[in-house]
Amino acid sequence: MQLSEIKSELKDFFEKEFPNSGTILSDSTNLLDDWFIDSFGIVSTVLFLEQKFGIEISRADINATTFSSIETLSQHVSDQLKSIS
Amino acid sequence: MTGLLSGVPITQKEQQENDRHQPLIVLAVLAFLLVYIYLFTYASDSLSLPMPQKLSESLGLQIEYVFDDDRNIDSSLIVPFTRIFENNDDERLVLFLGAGIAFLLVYFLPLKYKQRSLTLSSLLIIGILYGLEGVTGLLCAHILVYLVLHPVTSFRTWIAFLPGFFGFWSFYPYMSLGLVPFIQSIFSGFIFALVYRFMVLRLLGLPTIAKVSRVLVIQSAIITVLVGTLIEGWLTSPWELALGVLLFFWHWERLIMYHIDYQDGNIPANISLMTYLSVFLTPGQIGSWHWGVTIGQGYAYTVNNFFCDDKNILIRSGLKLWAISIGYLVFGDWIHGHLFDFINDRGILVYRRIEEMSSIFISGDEIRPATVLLTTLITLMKWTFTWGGVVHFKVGLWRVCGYRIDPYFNYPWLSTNLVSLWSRFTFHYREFLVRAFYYPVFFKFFKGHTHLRIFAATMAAACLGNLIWGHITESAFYHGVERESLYITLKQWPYFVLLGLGITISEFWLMHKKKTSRKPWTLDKYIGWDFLSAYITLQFFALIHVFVYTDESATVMDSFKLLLTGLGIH
Repeated sequence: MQLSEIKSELKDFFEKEFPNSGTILSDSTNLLDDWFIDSFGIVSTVLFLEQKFGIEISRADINATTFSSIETLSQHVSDQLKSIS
Repeated sequence: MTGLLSGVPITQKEQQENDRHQPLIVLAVLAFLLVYIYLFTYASDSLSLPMPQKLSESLGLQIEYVFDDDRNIDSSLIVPFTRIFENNDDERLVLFLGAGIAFLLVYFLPLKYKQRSLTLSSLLIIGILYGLEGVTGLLCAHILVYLVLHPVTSFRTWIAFLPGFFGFWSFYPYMSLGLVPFIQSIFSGFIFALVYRFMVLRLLGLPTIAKVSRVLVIQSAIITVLVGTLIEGWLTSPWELALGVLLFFWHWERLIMYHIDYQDGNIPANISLMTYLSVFLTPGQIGSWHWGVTIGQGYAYTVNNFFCDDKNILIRSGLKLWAISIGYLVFGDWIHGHLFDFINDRGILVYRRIEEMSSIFISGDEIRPATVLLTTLITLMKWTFTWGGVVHFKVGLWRVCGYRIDPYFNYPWLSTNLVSLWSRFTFHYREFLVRAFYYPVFFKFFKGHTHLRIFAATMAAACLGNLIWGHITESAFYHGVERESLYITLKQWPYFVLLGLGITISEFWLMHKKKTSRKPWTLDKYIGWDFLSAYITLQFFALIHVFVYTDESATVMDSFKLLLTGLGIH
């Protein structure tokens, strides 16, 4: 799967799951400052990543660097997909 | 939510850029501390200034429920177990003056000395409040943890001298200082250093023993509770801990979070002792250990959020919290008292304390559902004000000292579900439970079963973790390591189960509800639902406290009946 496709899937997910009118979600939007409300948002995202992309997320992956933006998160997903294949 | 995942690392260059002085900010911080000193200590009396109550009366304000018998504010911001001062007003004076000194040092010292200065300021404040036995016991325990987690070799072995040296003073009556005990403490230090160098270090070289040792030191608080209870059962007398050890145990949340960061590889292998201590010892840890305990965050959160924004912006946000804190601490009892009188004047019986209601209930008197609902709700409101006042002071102090710390308490009455309440009421404690209990279960078990996975993880955090690593340890701090306090806390199990179930149901609802872009409390036709949801959330949380605040002789079944009475079922 191409990086651009992963980004698009993630953007759709965030806009649908955590609708945030008034804020434009771009690849570099800071998810932790401007998008998530609490840890349960992280849990929902993990469930989505596992179900949608078939990758395994570990506790150590839950950090501010990986989850900082769609850019970083999609890169992480892409890396995981490459390691599976 | 800045601190949701501990933040991202900050460079020294960025920290330097955030370190610009603004004299007005310094004056504002000192002015706030003077207000605290005026309202909550005897300083005005000592300086022959009018006491707060007298000043209020001279302005024509007769305010009930606010002032003490000693004519200043009746504050819940206390520093318990000091055993040195006769009253809390003097302890608070030490705390506020210490906070002022800590602030001035961290504000004006060069960047590389800032965190060290906070550690030394904290030790100074703790030393004055708790004496030599408190400060040396705390240092001894922390250095032991450091030596196990970060074994020292070659010339750094001198650090192993310190636990023996400080450990001696933590048990020695400091009033009788002299040459002989000093020599004994040096001797004790050398003995410990030798044992560490030739035995402990070798054992820590064995991976299994090292792993077990790390768990033992990190979980020492809960292990001590269990061992102490067993010893009491054996000897039939409570086990008294050294004061410094008790103070160390109060860092158990931070220790567990530090260990998680350690396991995740977030801590540099060559971390210095001072950097380690700076994670645990800052002035923000000291104010009122009775409420709000320590802020349960570990290495990554503490280091990543230090001077990560312009310090003056951070301080302004801290002062805002201090202003709200003063509001809660001064007017909380006033609002509670008047609301209590208002409801009782309307003919609805409301008790001041849930324990009192529990006592009346088990004596056989009839209690109406409205009484149960309102008593629990008003009690929740009372300690919400206290809690808010204390934790806003603490978080404000962290911010004044240069840390970007998320609010611990964030308008919980705006919560429209239990997940939100869990976050808004005790953010840092919730984060501790999530990282220490929720994530390990969530990422390990029932991976193919989403609902079961969430249920198990939530119960591990809100029920088991909250009961054992939250309330039992806390109970040991308040009541000592004894069987009775352990039994009383365990008897509260239905509260934890109901809280866990309530949060789980809220999570399922959040997963499956129709997603809209509307945010709660938007002024539109759905605002009535927000009020209703907020009431149900707060009432549920308040009502399950009938299992926590009970008459001593009440059984779990009595509390269940009282709960059902509140729901109009019994």
